[in-house]
Amino acid sequence: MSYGKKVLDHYEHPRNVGSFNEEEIKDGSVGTGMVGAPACGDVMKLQIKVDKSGKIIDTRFKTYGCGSAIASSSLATEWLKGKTLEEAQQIKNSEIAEYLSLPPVKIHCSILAEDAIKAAIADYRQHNQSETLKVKTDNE
Amino acid sequence: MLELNKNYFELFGLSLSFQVDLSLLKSNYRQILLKVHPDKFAHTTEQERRIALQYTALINEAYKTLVSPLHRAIYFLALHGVSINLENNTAMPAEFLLEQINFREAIETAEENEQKLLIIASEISELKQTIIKNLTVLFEKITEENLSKAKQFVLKLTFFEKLLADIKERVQH
Repeated sequence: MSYGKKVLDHYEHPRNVGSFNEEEIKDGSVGTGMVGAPACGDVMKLQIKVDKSGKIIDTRFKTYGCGSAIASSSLATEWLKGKTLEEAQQIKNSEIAEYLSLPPVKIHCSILAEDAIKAAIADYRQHNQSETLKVKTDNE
Repeated sequence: MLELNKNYFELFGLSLSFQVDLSLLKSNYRQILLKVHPDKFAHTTEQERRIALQYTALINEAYKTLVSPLHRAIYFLALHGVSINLENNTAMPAEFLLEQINFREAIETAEENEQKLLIIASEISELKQTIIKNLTVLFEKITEENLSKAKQFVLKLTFFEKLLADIKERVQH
């Protein structure tokens, strides 16, 4: 399989690789999304760090899979930075696939990236919601 | 001779069961292949040759499907109206994905160390065997609940197969 230029660029120089450390996660500002694609066995972990105003200030990813899956998640972490959670929620797999010129057989890699974004946002919202609830009950 | 309407189990004279007698499957497969061997069709019409060729392709596909527990399970589910939809199923249980990432990291750290890779592979094989055992039990009693449970196991199995294939590739290099 020959990869497109943009895929190769992200594959060879992936952006924001890695994980946030315990210290960075402790304050609840990080949302982690983990997804997997049975079609190819690829696994993706994507993290967003969100500031108090609900804006994504930093991102990390770890993807075990093919070049297209790595490129899709690398690109996603770039696009996420500076976006609000609402804006991030709007990122579509078709935009990722189009930007990277993914062939039809690799579309599922971009679906994986979109699902990872959604999972990370859901994770962030979940423990921040329970945080607020906890504060409430503490005050009562 | 053309039995295109038969399912893969019927093609090999096997009962519709997830548990397959592999030696019986293999010997029936060989027997059928002998019957449709191109040599036997050297003096027949073009049409008969074409049919024999199509049949060989079908038999090969059927054999490949039944010999692999993963593909047999996917096929078995399909026969019972359950499609796996591998392309769009990305929501696996978090602890399962974490385990997958841990395996990936272990494989990466092992690099080309064959001994370490084989230890990881045997660990994965054990998990794979457990899944196959679970599938065997679930498929003995076809209920909606059992089929949906089986589907989750099949999804997990695809990841383990992928891991094992990756390790095999590393060991061979």
